[in-house]
Amino acid sequence: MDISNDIVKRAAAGDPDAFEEIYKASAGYVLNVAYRVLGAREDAEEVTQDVFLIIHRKLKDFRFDAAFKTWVYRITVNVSINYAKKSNKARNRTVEFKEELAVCEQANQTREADQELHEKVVAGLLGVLNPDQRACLVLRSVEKLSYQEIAETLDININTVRTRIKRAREALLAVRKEVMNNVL
Amino acid sequence: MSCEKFQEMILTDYLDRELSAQRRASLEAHLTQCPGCREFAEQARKGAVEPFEQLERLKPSPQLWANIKEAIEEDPQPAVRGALVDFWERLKLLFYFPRPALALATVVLMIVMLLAVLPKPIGRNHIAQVESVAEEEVEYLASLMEGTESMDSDGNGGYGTAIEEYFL
Ligand SMILES: [Zn+2]
Repeated sequence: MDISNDIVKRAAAGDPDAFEEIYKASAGYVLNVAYRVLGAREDAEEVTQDVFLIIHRKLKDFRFDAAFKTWVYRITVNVSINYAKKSNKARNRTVEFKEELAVCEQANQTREADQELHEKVVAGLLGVLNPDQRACLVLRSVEKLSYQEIAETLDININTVRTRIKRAREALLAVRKEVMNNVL
Repeated sequence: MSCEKFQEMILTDYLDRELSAQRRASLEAHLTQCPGCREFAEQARKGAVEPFEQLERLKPSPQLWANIKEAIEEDPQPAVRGALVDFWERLKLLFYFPRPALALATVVLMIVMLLAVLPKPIGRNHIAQVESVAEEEVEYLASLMEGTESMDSDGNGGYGTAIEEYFL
């Protein structure tokens, strides 16, 4: 995402074209972060809509001591986590996906062969984690942010980032081990 | 360093390439000697990193932007109203006088009025004098107001916006 301070200032002053520029530059990762945190496209789209409404309202308060990108990531993660916690659609992803994971491991399938299957596994794996761990792992593994960037985005200590990622991966490995043991 | 410590490092900084060159060298030296940690590193990469590599990314649909545009236009709390609020804040500031300054201004005003009522021959010089004092006073008040404004905009500080408060 490359958004100049000038664009941000113009959008904050009410210029709709400038706001559209911001949307074009950042909608992709807002949508994808929300999608990986929530696991369903329609939820992610709803969250993306909320995120841009909040950005629109809060732009005038944005101060340039924070990177704009960090600010947008932060709003995205906060809205997504809130949505995940409030959502009554308690997704039973954990139970469903183990079979798929087993199939993947057994057949050692390439992703290209069955993209849909792989997507189910990914959603299932992320579903094992609590929202805070999930957000950390998504920012790292999907968005490729550094630990320092994640710390700034979530406004947490870098060691907390480390701990969450460690716990998240331990949980993923535990599920995988369980599935493998059942298969073999 | 124990295998447990090495494995913690593998699960985080090593897999994410966050290790310093020195730590990385010491970990890699350990990996050549320890089959347990080597196996752990391989499993960790396979089970916790690879599944998330090169995932397909969703593309925002044109409908999504259309929805957002519509929502913004109908937003009861749009950015433009924010500008109006700003305007009111400025207006309030314009009529705000710090207390001691207000008292002083009142006294100056009273003197000016008193002198204006006095018989002209006696008062003329004094009035001119007091009027120039009054002018200085106005300038001083203006500088005070500017001071208040800049103090206000600096005092908010914080990180970006009050977005955290929004979610609390
Ligand atoms: Zn070892």
